[in-house]
Amino acid sequence: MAASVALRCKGWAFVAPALLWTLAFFVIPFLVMVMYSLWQRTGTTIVKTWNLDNYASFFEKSHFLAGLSNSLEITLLVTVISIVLAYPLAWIIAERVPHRWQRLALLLAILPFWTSYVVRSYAWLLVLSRNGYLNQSLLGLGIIDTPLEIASTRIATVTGFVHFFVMLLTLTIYANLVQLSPNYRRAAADLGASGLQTFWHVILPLTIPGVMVGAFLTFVLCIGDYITPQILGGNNELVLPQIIMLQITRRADFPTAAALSIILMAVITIAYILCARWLKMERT
Amino acid sequence: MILRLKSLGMAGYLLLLYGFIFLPVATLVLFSFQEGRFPIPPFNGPSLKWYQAVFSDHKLTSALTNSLLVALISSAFACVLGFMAAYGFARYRLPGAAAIKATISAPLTVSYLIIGFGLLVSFNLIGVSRSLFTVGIGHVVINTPLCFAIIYASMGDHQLNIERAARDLGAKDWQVMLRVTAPMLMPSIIAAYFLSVTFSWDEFIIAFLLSRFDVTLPVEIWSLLRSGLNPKTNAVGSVVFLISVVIVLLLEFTIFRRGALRDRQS
Amino acid sequence: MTARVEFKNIGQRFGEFVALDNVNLDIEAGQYAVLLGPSGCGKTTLLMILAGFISPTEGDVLIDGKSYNDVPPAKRPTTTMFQDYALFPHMTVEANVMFGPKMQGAGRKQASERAHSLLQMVNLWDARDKKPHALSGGQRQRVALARALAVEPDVLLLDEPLGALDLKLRRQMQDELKAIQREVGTTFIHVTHDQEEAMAIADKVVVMNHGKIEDSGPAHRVYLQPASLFTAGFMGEINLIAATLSGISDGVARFASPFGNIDLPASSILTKTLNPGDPAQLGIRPEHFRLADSSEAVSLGSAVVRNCAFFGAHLRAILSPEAQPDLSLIAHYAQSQKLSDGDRVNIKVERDAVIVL
Repeated sequence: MAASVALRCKGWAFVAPALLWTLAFFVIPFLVMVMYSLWQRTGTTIVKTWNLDNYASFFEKSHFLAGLSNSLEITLLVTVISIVLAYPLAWIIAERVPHRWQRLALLLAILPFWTSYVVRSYAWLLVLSRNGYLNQSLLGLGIIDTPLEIASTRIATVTGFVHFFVMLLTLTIYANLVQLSPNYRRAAADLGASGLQTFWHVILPLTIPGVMVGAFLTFVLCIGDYITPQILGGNNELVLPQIIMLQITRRADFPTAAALSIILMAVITIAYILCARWLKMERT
Repeated sequence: MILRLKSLGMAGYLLLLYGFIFLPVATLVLFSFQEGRFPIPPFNGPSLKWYQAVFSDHKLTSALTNSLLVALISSAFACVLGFMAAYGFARYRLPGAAAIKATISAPLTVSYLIIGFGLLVSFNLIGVSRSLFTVGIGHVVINTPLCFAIIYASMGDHQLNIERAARDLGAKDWQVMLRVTAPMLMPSIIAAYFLSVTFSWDEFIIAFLLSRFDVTLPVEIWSLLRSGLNPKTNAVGSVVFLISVVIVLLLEFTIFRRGALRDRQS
Repeated sequence: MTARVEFKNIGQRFGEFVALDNVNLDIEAGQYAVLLGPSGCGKTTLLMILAGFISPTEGDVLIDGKSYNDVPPAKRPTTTMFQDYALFPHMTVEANVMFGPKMQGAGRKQASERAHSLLQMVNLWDARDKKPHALSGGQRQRVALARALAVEPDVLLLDEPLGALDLKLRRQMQDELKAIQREVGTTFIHVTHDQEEAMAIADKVVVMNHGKIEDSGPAHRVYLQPASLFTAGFMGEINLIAATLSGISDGVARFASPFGNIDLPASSILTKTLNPGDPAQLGIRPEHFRLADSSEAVSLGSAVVRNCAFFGAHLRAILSPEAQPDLSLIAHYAQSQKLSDGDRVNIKVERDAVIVL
């Protein structure tokens, strides 16, 4: 009896540091943030009475709601486009590229993202801006007369995001594809299925988990990202993270920022629950 | 005939997509050698003057050093915390293990913006001023669950027997952990460490919110950007890219090549 | 529904490695053939060539007289039961079985009826709405069988189908497979490394080693009169005694051996033509040792029992013969026999059972 208690204590000793750190620097700050979200900022002071005004004003202030809807629209668009572009890429690498080149193919696909994320988004500016590479090429080839205004628009943001998430989704879908037993394809062929039939009836359904995991990651990372929209999106259609940062840096309005952050978290949590529920359904 | 069209189509798709993937970085690197004032077409050059500008920019070079310091130290911390936690869960039965594991893993599911902001208001509340130190704390928060997950996943029962043998021969628990378990798990520990360094090195939002005067590289680059297209940015970006490529290639040809990556049986 | 299979001069190379070397084999329509041999002998390669997953480096594969050399698996009248069953995990049992007919153009009703009759045959109709992960190993195997038979193939190929099952289940499935094959009439070609399994099921046992066929024929013939030394050793335990042919006269062959002269019927010489003075191996299976004297028995002198163990159905003794003490003979005696270590026995062997190799 005493031995097992001693054992438990030892176990705690190993786990405690990580747990305490997480509690001190993640859980408590989060609770502090929740507390702030219930306070009010007036002038330069913070009124520490608890109320839900910040949340109420979220639904009233149109630009806050617009921020959320922009975030959702952009994220959903990015997710769909990335899946459509990434699946064939993952499939070609997994099924058609010779085995010994597959690692290299994946490495090549990841390589450009080994530069700073900030710089990567900025690099799209180099390409999409009025004097940028794209416009100069199109003008030079005579395809257009005046430069396209792409930078500082939603299109630029979506492009910047899709660039990143195609890579991510390619990885998750590829991982799913290679882990399928080759005998599934053989069995399907053996039973008379053509390549297309095998893909539609067997391979595609079996890769849905990989797609869903990638899509979920895309959704969560995209909706919470500040950098890409800030660099590429201009000042017209702000997304929620940009609005939150505005509250923090420009207006030093921590309570509002906190409330908006909680709402962002809520959206992410809903997405997580839906995804988990869907995955569990798929199992049975 | 159809087969050739299909292969051609696939090759074309590959080319298109890889082109898309490489476009921004290729443009970046190309115009980092730009002779003119702005890092945009048409290309004159090549010239190394922007690289010179970068390396003589004191703020940039100190930001680079700061990034390295924060990355290397905070990742080491995160690794130690993650390893100890993984060891504790794998070797001892603790009540409420699932809940504790969930707590430790929770930061993985939360946007960095929120983690950074939470720390900002908390530090503000208790009067701790922003610095590289607070950035480091934030980075340990985001990297510990990662280290924990990677190391925990590689702890299996086969190591258990070796540890039992060591204990049998008289080693104390901490000796077993240090001299038996850690060396056995070295590949995962190293993988976790390098992944954490990568995330920390490139991390922007937490570093932005929690630093003040001494900043990390991404934050410094960001302030460069605030003033419009800056050719130094290209050079810096290319340097960062180059360093990362070198590290990845090193890892690829030393550690991962030795590891067993089974090729699919066809 | 059923067809004759012919392998003509099949050769298969993987780089430097020769997997199959000039293999010729005929299997009659409706036969249950078993390809038997150790790992790496080429049996699975031969099966895959027939299925169409591998193209042979040399040679021809004929099914019912037609060459199928460059025909893809989908167009061959064969189906394969894979070692890991390869049931589609996202489909129900019924959907799995209906897959083949649907792919080949059958309507929903027709496919459904076919699935119904096959699942009834393997006693899994009640499990039709379950997914594969909810089934036991034996059940999955039966679904794989039903799925393979649903497209009414001429030849059914089974790649070590019973390897993942425990002994009792394996015996049961062997009987079931045999019964189903009889009922359906399709040619079955079954790959295994278990000689008991081969003998239990096969109409024709094909023993393979290093890419060549060592022997082929009905089980009792391959066991009692093996065509090669390898076959003799692979089919079961066998004792080998080195001997030289002294001469043949009146249908009796005399061999000189460390045990003295041994007279055997000339018909015991199976593999090659022996001339006087040629060396040979005399093969004796453990179950052919006798303790009582009789005119059908060859005497090999006496021996000391070195190790004796009760194996349930028989008594297994390791004998050290006086004539050649460094040779160990393995003998199976009746379970009622009382023997212990150190006993001295006379070695008697059924004359007709000795094989000359």
